Amino acid sequence: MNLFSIAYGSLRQRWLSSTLTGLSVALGVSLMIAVLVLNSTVTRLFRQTGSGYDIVVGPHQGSGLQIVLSTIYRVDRAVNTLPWRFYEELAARPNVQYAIPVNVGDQTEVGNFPIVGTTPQYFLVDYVPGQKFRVKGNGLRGTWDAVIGSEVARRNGWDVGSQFKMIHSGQDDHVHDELFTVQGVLAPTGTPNDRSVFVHIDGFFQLDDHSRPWQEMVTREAIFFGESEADVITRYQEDIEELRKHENETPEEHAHHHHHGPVSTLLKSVSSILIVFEGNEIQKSGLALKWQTDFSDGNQAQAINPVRVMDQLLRNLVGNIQLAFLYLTGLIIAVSGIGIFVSIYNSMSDRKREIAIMRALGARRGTVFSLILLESMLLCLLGGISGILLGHGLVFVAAPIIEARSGLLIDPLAFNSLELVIVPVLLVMATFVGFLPARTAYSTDVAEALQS
Amino acid sequence: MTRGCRQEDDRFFGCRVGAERHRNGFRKDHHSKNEMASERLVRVEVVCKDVRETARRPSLEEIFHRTGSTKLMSLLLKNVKKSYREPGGGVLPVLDIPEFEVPQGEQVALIGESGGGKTTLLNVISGISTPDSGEVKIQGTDISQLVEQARDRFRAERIGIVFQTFHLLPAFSALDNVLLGMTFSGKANRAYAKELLDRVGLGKRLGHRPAQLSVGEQQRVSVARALANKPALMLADEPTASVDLANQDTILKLLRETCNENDVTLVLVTHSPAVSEQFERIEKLSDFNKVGVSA
Repeated sequence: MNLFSIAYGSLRQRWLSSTLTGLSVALGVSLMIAVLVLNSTVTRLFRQTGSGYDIVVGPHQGSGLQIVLSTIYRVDRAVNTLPWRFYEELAARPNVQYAIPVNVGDQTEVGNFPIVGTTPQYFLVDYVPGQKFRVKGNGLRGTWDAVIGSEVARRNGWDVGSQFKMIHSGQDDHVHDELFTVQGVLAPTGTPNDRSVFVHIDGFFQLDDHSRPWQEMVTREAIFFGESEADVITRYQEDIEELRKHENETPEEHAHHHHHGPVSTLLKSVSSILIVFEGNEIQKSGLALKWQTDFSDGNQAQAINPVRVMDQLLRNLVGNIQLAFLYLTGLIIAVSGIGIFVSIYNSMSDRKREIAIMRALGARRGTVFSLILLESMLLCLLGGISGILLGHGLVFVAAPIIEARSGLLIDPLAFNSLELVIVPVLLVMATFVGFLPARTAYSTDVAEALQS
Repeated sequence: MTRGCRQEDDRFFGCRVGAERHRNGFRKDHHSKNEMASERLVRVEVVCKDVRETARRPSLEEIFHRTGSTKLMSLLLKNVKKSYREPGGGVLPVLDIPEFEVPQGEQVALIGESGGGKTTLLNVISGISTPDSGEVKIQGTDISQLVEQARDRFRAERIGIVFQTFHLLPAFSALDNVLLGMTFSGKANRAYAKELLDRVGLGKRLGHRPAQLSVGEQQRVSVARALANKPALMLADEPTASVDLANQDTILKLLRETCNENDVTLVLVTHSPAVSEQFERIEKLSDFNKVGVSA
């Protein structure tokens, strides 16, 4: 028998009070764990997901954050589009290893998962550094092929061979008639790709309402490149003649032509372009910086470093919210600390005799002082450890719900280094809250308490 | 107890031998390697520690030397005065004992009126309270002169106490209650605790908590707990007052026999003539407490 078992026995004797007090600590700690795990997940998601791309090029309109959120995180709509010709120019620039066009804005009819119109190159780039996409099936090969994320497959019950339709999101939401066939299923990545549906960009362009009237496109391209409309018309003369012919067709004739030919470059546009440069990290950083500077001089488009944008968001907004949550949970733990104090301090009047018996048996003042401190520490320690387990359990239960609602993939076992601080902090708190009751035990009048 | 003292003597002499060896070692080696110095330092510390231990636990020879007697007194009170401060500011004298002594191994029944200072006397003897003046010597050590920490340790090691209301800790089993007494003296011995409980007839109720034991059984646990540290002096404050007649005899017999077997001095406070009659030496507190006489 030692001091530890005596303290444990005393706590066990007052099991209801001890359990409730320990529970209050456990709840505070579990909330803190939940916040820390969410913090880790959000930070990882925000920091890593965009890090595979050196630059995201988007329209001049809108903020860089909006472009990154719509292109990489698929939580916002695209503001505007860029001409396909611009994409071709960028792809042809030296030092560009990959230029991947991305069109966003539509959703699946079932499950409302975001659609990404892109090229097969999208799956050649690491989704986070060192992590390559693993695709079951053939992937994007034909015009009407689609690759779906793991979460889409799970939630919609789709697999290779499944077919689906898309909803055109715009002023008048409607379902496109065209069917896409799933030709690939991605292995889980823990990124927004898991809840995305990728369709071949050729198919995306051939959908109804995905191309605007050629006259509008001529004007837009002329403005974008600073050319005259006549120059643009000359450039696309053959395509425009073909388009003029279609204008005079009856709906039946149009339906006959539909799906049968590639769309003119004039009519194509992209929401954004993901760029991966050639070279090592230093060269890539230099190129990214140069592109950002070059683009900021003109009014054509903007080049955004996705990692920097997300870092700013994390620091300025998300970080502050997380900090507020951490403060709040810290406060909860402090309140539970006061609970421990009240519980032990109140029990002291009942325990004076117990303390006196121990003193009569030869326990020193310092021993009973340590005993009460140890009880306080045990309560905090047991509460803290239970809280850590409970917190991870809470996250384990909540993970699928959060995943379903927000697409955030949460690892319940994700460990935050701050967790290491929780237990020592609790022990310090226990020492503080246990001090006064321990002092009472220390100064107990043995003869008087034995008579009472 | 005599055997215990002899062991202490051995340790005391062992310590001196160690010191002697150390001195020789120093003479022999003081020209040799420097690292021997740290080892010597450790030895000196060990020697000093043993000397301190010995100071706390006087040897038989020392006790005879201090008391000037060849008869070992287990308990000796001289000019002990104790009073309490009343709420009104006055002083209430409780004890004024010119002399009271109990030789080693003797069993004394202390009788007196309620409020006559019996419990205060036991508290003073056990070191729970300190007298205002006078000497309280247990085996030659005046515990009233010890600092509180040393008094606590002395009580843990040398004094066993049986309370009227048992004062068992409800959170712990019978075995743990006995072990508790050993824990504070730093000599927890599970096997001996079991043996003691077996001797008081509770060998099969080791895991029972006080609430699961009868009143008589609880008092037997408290007797076992009091014996746990092999004390030199056993103080029993009305140990049979809370038990029925059938248990009274059992408890008393148990206390007297175990004290006899272990050469433990017993001072038992009672107001029951039926209990005191069983003792060869009966002391009426008012006979040697001048406060009692004046009262």
